[in-house]
Amino acid sequence: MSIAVRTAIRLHPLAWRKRYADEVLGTLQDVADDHHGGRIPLTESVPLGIRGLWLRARSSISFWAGLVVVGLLIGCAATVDVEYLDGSLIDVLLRVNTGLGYSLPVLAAAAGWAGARARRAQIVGARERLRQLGAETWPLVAFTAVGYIIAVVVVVVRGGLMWMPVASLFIVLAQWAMILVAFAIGQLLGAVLPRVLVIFAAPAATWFFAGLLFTSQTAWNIAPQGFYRGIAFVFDVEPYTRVYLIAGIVIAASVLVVTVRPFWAKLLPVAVLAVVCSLVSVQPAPPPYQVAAVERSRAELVCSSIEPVVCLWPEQEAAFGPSLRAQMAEAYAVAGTLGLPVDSPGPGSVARYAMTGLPHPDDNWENASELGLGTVGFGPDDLLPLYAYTMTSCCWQEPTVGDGEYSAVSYAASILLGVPPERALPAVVDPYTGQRNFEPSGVPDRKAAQTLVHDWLTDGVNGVRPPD
Amino acid sequence: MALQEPTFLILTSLAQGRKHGYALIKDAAELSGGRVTLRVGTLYAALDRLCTEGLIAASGEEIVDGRLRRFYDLTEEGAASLSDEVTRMRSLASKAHTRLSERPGLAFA
Repeated sequence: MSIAVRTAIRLHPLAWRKRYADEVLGTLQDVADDHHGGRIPLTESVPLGIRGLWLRARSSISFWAGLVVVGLLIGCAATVDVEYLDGSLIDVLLRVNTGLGYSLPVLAAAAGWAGARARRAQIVGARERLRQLGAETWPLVAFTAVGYIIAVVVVVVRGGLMWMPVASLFIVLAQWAMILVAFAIGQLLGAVLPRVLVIFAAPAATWFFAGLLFTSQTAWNIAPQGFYRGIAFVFDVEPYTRVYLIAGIVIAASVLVVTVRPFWAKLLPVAVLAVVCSLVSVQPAPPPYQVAAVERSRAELVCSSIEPVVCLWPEQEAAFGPSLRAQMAEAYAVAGTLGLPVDSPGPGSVARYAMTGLPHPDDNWENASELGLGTVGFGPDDLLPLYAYTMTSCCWQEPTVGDGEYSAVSYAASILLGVPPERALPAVVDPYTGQRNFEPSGVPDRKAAQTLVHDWLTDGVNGVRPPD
Repeated sequence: MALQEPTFLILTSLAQGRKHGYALIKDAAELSGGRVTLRVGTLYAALDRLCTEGLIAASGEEIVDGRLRRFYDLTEEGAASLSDEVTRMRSLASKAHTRLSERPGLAFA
């Protein structure tokens, strides 16, 4: 029997195969012997396979639910906002999140329905039950995959795509993990509840998880940094994530156990209760590093009384306050000599440079345009280049130059202020890995730095912000 | 409702007596003058549906050269359905015949 014929017969539902497979095979052989020299032609096996596929599909709720999922994915991809699409693959994938978020409850409901039907079938044998489970759910998986790919293409067509070296496929893993969790929830509930209840309970339970997909910020932040940082970020920002993961693992394990050993289904309510209790009992808490950044009061800052005014946290003041102030004063003088647009030291003028992250009044997050998160852990060697960075950024007026040149100007200004070149790049410390990430600069030496700063001053002097 | 042509051919073939799948394919080709060749997929989809509707029924099986042959036979309900279809087609054919006969310039027997 050729692979084509075997596949065509396998595509039919199990009940059909049990009844007709041998008979159809015999008839196919008769046709082949009389008309095709003993070989069963594709003109017979392919239509047979398509018909089997249709028979299997139309008898499964997964098929119809799959069509709904495809519609949701494509519909959302066609209407989601792509105005701010930056062209990276990861941003494209994130635009698919909206459709996936709405699809998860549908997936869970269909999986629940299939699970309930498998339970009612009272199939004997773990292998047979797994086969039944697979047969019930594969149309849903296939449709979701097809819809996902089409949705990505639709977003790309609408918003464009260009290669950026920041894409991480972690988001794809995360998205499909969510899909599997939705399946697991549906199957689990289907194993213990009647179908009428499952189609309501499964979407409701899944919606709880689906919310994660709508927080695209999470995925955006984890994208460029790789798997480890992604996990760390999700754990840090989303206070429920640990519980989500534990619940997901418990549910997936329960589904597997119940599928193989149906008797254990009697214990499922206990597992469900445990998961629900853990979800309810855990209170959201601010992530650890945010506590340090968000909850400190500006009143804690220790500011110098002489120009330039530099404000530090008490621990920074104790560790390196005097030496930093001296360094800053010298740099300030150099900047004035060079004509850099800093506040002139003198009576009546106050230039404040708060050397730490401060919460933004609107969203209580640090204002990244000032000195960012990483400054909390910085020492004096880092603060001077950041001072230069802040100095240039404070006086910037968009859109005179691009980000690259802006960074280069900061770097050049740092060098002119006496910062060693190897420390002159603006840097931030990754709060999870402790790694210092430097912004690239195209300034090769001091002479180039002087030229760049001079040009910047000449071109951008009108953009200089007056002293506060 | 009018029967589809493959269904009509299958029922007509079985009106002669019980037949297995391949015999039905051959008979359908002969009945249609070679115009209709039933695919195996089409045949068994129709047989499955007709069994479900009670128009035909399985009527024994045998193994020939290692190949399973299941025979199908027309039920009373199937015979009645085929008879209704024949009456409907005959009536329709009669009307067509009458109108064509009245058409001037066309010699129609």
